[in-house]
Amino acid sequence: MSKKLKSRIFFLIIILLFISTLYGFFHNTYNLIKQDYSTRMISIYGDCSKEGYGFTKYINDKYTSDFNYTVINGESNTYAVTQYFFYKKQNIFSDKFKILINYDDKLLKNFKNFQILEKKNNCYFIKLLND
Amino acid sequence: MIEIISIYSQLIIFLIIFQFPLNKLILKKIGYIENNYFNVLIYNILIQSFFYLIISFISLNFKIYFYLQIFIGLIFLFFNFLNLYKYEKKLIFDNISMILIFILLNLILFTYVALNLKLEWDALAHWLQKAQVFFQNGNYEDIKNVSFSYYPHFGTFLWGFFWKSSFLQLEYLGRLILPFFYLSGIFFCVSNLLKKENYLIKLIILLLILTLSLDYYLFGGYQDYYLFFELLIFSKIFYDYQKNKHSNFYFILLLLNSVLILWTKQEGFFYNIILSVVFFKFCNKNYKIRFVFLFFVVISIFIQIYLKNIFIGSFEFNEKIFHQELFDYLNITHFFHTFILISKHVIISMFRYPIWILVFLILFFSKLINRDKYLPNYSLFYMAIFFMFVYAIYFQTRMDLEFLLPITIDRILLQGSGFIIYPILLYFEQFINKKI
Repeated sequence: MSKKLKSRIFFLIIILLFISTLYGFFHNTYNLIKQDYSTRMISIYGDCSKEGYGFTKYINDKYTSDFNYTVINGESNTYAVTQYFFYKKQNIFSDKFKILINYDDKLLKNFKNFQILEKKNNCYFIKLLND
Repeated sequence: MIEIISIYSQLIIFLIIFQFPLNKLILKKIGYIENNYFNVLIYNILIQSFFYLIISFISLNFKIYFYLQIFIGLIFLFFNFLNLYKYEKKLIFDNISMILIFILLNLILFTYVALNLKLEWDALAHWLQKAQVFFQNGNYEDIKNVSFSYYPHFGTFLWGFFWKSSFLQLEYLGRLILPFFYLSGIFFCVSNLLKKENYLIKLIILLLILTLSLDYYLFGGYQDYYLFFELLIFSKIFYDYQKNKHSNFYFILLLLNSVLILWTKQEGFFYNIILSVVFFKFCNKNYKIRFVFLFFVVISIFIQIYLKNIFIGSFEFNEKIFHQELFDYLNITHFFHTFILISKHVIISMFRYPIWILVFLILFFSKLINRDKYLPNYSLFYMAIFFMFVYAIYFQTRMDLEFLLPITIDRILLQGSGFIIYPILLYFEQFINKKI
């Protein structure tokens, strides 16, 4: 191996290390190894707060049906909904079931005709009565 | 650790798949000598993407298509390595050093996306649903049941396809194709600049362009980097097309790119018009070729209208293009008020995507200080027509501009900057070559 080639390889290694550090590669890899996928999802979208990913996933895992569940967020100006993470293309969205995220008692009054199937803090899974 | 392996394997999958259908030997046979890895990569991305678009319309088992791609890709990879080792040992280091930096930057962006899983508003509201359709082996017909079904679907097809074909089948693994395309486009443009000896300058330019155009936020399910990428490579291939006499191959690539632009986002329809005008005016070829290009672009637009009507029942934009309220602009005060408001947000957005600040600084330097003609002739024309397009969007809409402008105009500026980056890189090249 010529001296010129050796110096080029050395130079390349320095550049690769520089770029890695500049863009936080090592730091991000470290954090990625430390947190698994579901932990990261819940820390980003919340369990029963923010977009309520954790609660929505829990309901979709527990109550498998022929419907896609509509998610309604009580703070809809701040948070989007995560219902499409669980969307099944062969299923339709049903008006009979709803997942409510960030719903306090005051907001819940809008769903008088519904029965509560699951509740966790301000999150609810509700079903239309007399069905 | 399994997740890390899955992320890295996703890059290997991309590199294998985009090894074909072209390689240096095949290109040589059709009369194009290519020693640059990224040129071949981009040509393959364009051709393969066109096929992805086609299979998104038909009922096909995507897994089988994926395994077929991997199989053919591996054969090409084997022969490409053999060829490189046998005949082009000298070229290995020059290519390898850029390829290694490319791989590292991909891993950096992939790791970032994996760590910051957040899908932004539009992605959660509708793009994800489309990607789910393709993840579940649906085709374009199934799109009619999703929200905003009239939005183009090309990016979400790629998202769903690579999500399905990833090892862990996690949603974000499908989205990694976006940073891969983004980086491929930038390396395609930068790696062709300057001589081999100016390796360090090339690297500095690469990092400069990356720093000025990179926004991690847009990897959160937005489709804007696809348009950025498509405009970027259109610009470079168009330049090559202008410069080469025998350039049917570039002509075909430009057409394929136009079709992809059309199916990426709604704005693609208007970018097709802009690019057709640029092509018609500056392609340096006879009028027959110019009209053939226009003919194919118009045909592809009609095919899109036809397919949308057949599969999802309508062809539409967010709003009707012509409406009664447009006459309100006959009131000059209202016109200027809107004009100033849009201009304010254009300026603000340039600070978000400072690639535009670089563009205007180069323009200022070139025209007023250096008084040179290094910028390609079509670049100023494109800029003028692009900004007319930006203003037209906001003059046309009936939505509240105070709400709409802050959340949309920055992304439109980023998309459009794709086309102007290559002329800026050419400026750097000319300037440096004159000084050295």
